[in-house]
Amino acid sequence: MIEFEKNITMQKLRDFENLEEIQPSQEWNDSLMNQLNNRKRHQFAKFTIVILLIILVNIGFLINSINHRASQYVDRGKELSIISNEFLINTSSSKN
Amino acid sequence: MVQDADIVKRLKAGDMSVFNAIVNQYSKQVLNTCYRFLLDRDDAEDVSQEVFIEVFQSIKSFKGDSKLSTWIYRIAVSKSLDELKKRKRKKRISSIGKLLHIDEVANWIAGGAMPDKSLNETENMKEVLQALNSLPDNQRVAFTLSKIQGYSNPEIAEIMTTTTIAVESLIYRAKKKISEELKLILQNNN
Repeated sequence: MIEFEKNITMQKLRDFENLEEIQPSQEWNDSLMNQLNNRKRHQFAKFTIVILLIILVNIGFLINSINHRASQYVDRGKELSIISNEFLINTSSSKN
Repeated sequence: MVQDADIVKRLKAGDMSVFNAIVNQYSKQVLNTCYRFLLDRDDAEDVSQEVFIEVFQSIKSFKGDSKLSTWIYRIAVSKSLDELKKRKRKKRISSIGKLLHIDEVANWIAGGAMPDKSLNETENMKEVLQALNSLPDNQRVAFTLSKIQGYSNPEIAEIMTTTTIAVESLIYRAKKKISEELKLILQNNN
């Protein structure tokens, strides 16, 4: 019985050792190249999206800084009139 | 090695003709390596494609510390082990599903694949596969590679980044454990 089990075990191992080699088919090769091309396209799309996002963020930043400068100009005028009021200077008249 | 350096340089520059040559040169060995680990032709084909995609994408990080072939085979081994881990995970989910009587949900979570799909194709390898599953990764890698034509022990050592003596010891221990496991499996089956 032990000898029988040993033989089966050896046979199973031999089957594994003598497993037939397989060859890559043309379909396998075509499928690999397709996958590579798809990935390349995908990477290019990702790169384009990143570039577009950077451009959009920069444009947003530019618009924001222009708006900020314009509001700063108005604020300074307000600040000057407050200061002049505190010192009782009449800003509408040039005399006195 | 000089030739390797030239090939790597051209690959890094995105030369597709060199990549095609690499695929032609190594596809058979890579495919058979994956096949020995997975014992399923369809899975081996999918994983070997992933290997070459990884080669194409990661060539920029290849520093030339080893031969290009060794690096490629190392990727093949690592991808095959990942696939085996995925199978184990799927099998676990499927078992839980069966316990809870929610087979459909479990199959859906497991990606719809049957856990023992490979066994249909190589039914007579069922027990060997079971015995191989009981081995630690390093013993499994050393033993499996030693059974594939074209890998010498020093080459296996290079792939596993270890010494030839360590590889011999791993193969010896793997053989012993597989024989024991196979005996147990066959006893339980009878």
